[in-house]
Amino acid sequence: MFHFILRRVLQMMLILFLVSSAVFFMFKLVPGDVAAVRLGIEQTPEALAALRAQLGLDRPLIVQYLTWLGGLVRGDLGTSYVDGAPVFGIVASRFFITLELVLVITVLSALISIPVAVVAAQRKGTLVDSGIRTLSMVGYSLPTYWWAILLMLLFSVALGWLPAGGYVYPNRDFGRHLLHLILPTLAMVLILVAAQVRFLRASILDIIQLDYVRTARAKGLSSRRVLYKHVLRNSLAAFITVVGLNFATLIGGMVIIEQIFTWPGLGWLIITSILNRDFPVVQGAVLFVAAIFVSVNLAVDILYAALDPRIRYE
Amino acid sequence: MRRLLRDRSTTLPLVFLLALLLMAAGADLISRYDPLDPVADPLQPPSRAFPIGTDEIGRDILTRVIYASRITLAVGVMSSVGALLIGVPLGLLAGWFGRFADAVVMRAMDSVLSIPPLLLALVMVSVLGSNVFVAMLAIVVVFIPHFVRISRAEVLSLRHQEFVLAAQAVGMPTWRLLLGTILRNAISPVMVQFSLVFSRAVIVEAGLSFLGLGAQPPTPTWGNMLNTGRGYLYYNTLYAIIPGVAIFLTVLSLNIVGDSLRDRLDPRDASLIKEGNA
Repeated sequence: MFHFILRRVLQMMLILFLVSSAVFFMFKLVPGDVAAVRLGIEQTPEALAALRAQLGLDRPLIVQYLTWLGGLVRGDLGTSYVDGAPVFGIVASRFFITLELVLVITVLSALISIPVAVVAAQRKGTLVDSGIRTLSMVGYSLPTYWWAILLMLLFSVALGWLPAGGYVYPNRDFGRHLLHLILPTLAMVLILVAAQVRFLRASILDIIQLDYVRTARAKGLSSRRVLYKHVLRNSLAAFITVVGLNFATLIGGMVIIEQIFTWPGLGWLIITSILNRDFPVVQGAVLFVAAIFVSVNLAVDILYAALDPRIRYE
Repeated sequence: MRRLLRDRSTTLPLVFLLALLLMAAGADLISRYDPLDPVADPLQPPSRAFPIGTDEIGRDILTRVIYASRITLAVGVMSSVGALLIGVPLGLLAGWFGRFADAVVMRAMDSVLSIPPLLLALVMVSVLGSNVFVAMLAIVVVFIPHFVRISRAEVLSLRHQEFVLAAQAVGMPTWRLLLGTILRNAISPVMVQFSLVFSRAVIVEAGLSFLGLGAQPPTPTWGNMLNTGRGYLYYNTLYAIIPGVAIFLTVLSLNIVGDSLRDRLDPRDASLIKEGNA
């Protein structure tokens, strides 16, 4: 077990190193001189040189690269071009705003998909099952941005029940904070539930055919007991990896939802930073998202191995 | 393929996709309006002349929806084909040569996968400039790993089978073995993957255009129309709804066809595991 985790951690660090290098060199491809763009029409040769020196742009590329890597090791993601604040602090504060939304979405969608998938698998081939399958196919194909607009159209524009967007700090007014949480959550949950039901239903049906399930039935256990004790427990191990992966993807995948509902999280930060050409923030945020993704991935793998004794740590 | 055509559940989606293709090809024949030039007063409600109304500068919205299918299909097809043409050979090489080649390719793919698809595309577009070619390139990069994985897995499961060993023993050159024998066996999972990637490429392309980072106005795309339309919800709700319906039906049809392909070609496939929604 120890070697398994050690190997995976080393692998994870390698991936983060690759991503950070790719991110660094990609932003060096941006056409034009960052310093010149920032100075705009006020540029004089002296001011340009001073800014280039201040940003470290006058040093050789390899030195800039090593400085950037060295900073990363110390948790220093650089400073924003816009206000000079440390990128790490900016990204972290926005991260928690996204995290709240993503946690609510993840938990809710898992709680809904489990019973729905169980019902569909139990009644395989019936009208209920094909209804659920059709619905999940539809949900799975819904483009988030369109579905979000439809929800907004119904609940904000037509009915006027929910705010169309925005964010209220929880310590200012918790009730209104929750109210603003509802639409973005609804927009994501259906789509996630659809994907997860598809997966879990298939996985339950796969396991039901296995020999040990037949043995359990032959032993005289009730089909209920077999389903919950033997089948569901095993499919849930795989299900957790899917939920974990979806969670990790959502952290950086909320760009459009946050944009539509003006939710000031990471995705919103990334879009506005791209539009402001504030590249250190974009780099930092992307790297942060990748770090979360590989860590969650690792955690999920370890959890999976712990839950399912058939997985061997080679 | 014949069985796919006989499957009742795929009839409707296939008809829809075919109609879409014809619509894209014959857009000029279907609509008598110009997609780029104003033809009437702006923001007119739906009427007999303009079934979905006119947009903010007086162009016929329906005409623009029809023309937009060209961008979607072109970007979807070309970027999925691009990802396939790069991903499959990489997967074959990684799986066949193992060790160093495998480690290099797979860690690179892990790195690509560690960033959500839309975000990765977004970053590439922001660096290289927002136009339709960069968007296409970004989508290619995003989906390469899907093909690498599938073809690598196929090589790994085949390379110790007797017919492969036999071909090696009689001295068949490696490239012929890979491109002939192995690839022929890998074709069905790759096809299934292609249909899934295609539908996701459509979603990512529309997402990029929605954020203003795909094909630039005045070129109509479903994504950028949806985004503009959402600013006029109070004037004409159909403006925001119809382009979305188009994206949705296209993706749904591709998914249904892809699903049925999978059931047919490759009943035990775990590729669903890694399919989060962008």
